[in-house]
Amino acid sequence: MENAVPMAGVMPEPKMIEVEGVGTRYYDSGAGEVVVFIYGGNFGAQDSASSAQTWDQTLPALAARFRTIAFDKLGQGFTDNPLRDEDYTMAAVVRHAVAFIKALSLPPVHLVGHSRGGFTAARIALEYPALVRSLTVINSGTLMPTVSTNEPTLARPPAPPLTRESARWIYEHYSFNPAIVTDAWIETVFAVMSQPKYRESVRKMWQEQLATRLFYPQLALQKRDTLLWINDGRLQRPTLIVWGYNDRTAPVAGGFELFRMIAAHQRRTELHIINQSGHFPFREHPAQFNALLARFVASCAAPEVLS
Amino acid sequence: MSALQERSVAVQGRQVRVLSAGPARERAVLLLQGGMAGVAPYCGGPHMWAPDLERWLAGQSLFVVDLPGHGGFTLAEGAPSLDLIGGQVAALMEALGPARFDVVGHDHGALVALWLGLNHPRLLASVSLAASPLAAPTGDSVGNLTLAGLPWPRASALSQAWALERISYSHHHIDRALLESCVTAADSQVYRHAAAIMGEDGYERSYLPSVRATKSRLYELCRGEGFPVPAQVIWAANDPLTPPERGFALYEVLAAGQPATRFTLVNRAGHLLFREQPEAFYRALMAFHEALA
Repeated sequence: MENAVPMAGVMPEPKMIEVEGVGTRYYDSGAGEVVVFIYGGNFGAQDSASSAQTWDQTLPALAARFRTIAFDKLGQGFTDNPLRDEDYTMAAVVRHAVAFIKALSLPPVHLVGHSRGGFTAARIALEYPALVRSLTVINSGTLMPTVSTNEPTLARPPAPPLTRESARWIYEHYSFNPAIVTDAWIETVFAVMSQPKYRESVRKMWQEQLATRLFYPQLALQKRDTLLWINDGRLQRPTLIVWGYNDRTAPVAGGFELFRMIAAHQRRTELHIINQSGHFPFREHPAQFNALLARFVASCAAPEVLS
Repeated sequence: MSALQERSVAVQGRQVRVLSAGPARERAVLLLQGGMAGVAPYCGGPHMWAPDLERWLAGQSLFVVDLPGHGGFTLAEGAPSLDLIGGQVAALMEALGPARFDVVGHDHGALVALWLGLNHPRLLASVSLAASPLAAPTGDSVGNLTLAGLPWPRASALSQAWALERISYSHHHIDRALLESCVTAADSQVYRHAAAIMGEDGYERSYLPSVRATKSRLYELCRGEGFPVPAQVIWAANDPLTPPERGFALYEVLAAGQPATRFTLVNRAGHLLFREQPEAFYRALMAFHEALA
């Protein structure tokens, strides 16, 4: 199994689409069952900045078998910011993701969500089951019912916010093997952070205090609904849970709890824990992750092999 | 099991029954059954794995063998121990042809897989350890009453059905074909011979101490240089004999020193998870083996 620093795959050329007035950047390649990837984080974060490029170990590998789509979420990556202040919420992020899937006229898709994106993906499976064929959740501290320790783990970076040095330190502390945080990764993060629109989202979240006035309180309420709905058996799609064993921000016990909640109602629920992996198992161990995901998607697409 | 080819292989002066399927390759999958003659209340063997085994493991170079003391593999002379049984299995693997095996062990078969990791790592590409109460750290565990009131006689279809249902999540996988295979396997000379040795006091006085010694060596190795081959621990969410926490404890022991370690939890399955959820079980095996290739 690979332990070397993974090489970045070649992502397809990005495309743009307008989704309810929001310019949205995405990657789309391959043919067959549609797999839609939703990365983590949120707009206006000062220390890290995710984008669809985070799937560059995954998308090219799976595009040989499936149509693979990764988009930049509302206000993140190279997608426009929310149009209104009241849309600085996870609910708006979910609405944008749903509108994106509808705008591309996709058939029911296999959703793959990491971290905060795992919450978004689960929320879509709960609220819009007709859009979803299967759900994959990766190290989602946002979705798991136990305590997320990202704040203490990532406290006191050694450099000011919105710098390469700070971002590198953050991603290294997310990871088991800090060497997976490559220069190319950090340059992409820095390119996202350097956009005027991104600086504007940082200003909205922190100077205008939308983070504490709106985003976090709304997320807490939405998480409450989400966990209640899962316990009620409303999550009704095959669910693959993949967890990096050594994640200091979303400890593995949370993956077990999430499994128990979903598995109580959904037969096709499975948990896979990958050793020597932090928060990004699909980047630290792409061969393991890609084999798990490809076989899961194939099995969900072929009902004759369900038994 | 129909698509599996049966043949006989000479091992240590005795003929051993081997079932196989798929192309001949340098790296092959080897399934080692669970249960133990004279100890387990059901009679195991290659018939336990899953109907349509060759379908779930399509394209693999596959071998399915009895544990010594079952079916076509006579228990060797001497005090019964994990060293004795493991040594017999290692000798069989040397005789089979492939250079390395992805060994999949269930229950006692998982103990043998760990023993192989300690003693013959060069024969292994990986081990997968499935639902094995004895292979996991047991600590001062609470007594398990799942099989406390076994009906008699043990080898009857009634007793086999009772035991299989008790260790399962659902009884639906237990059909007439499975019960007939268990009863037939229990009636073999090889099985009765081993059951008599284990049943008298061989299991408690000889086999269990050897298990304890092997596990001590395993824990020492994992504290030191680490388990020498990639390992997957695959457990059932609803196994009456061993809960997920036990499997995860075994995973944590192995993960300390072996980078390529995976824990997999399969839902709505008991001790025979590969029968109750064959699609999920065999898919997890294939994904693990694929990533190692």
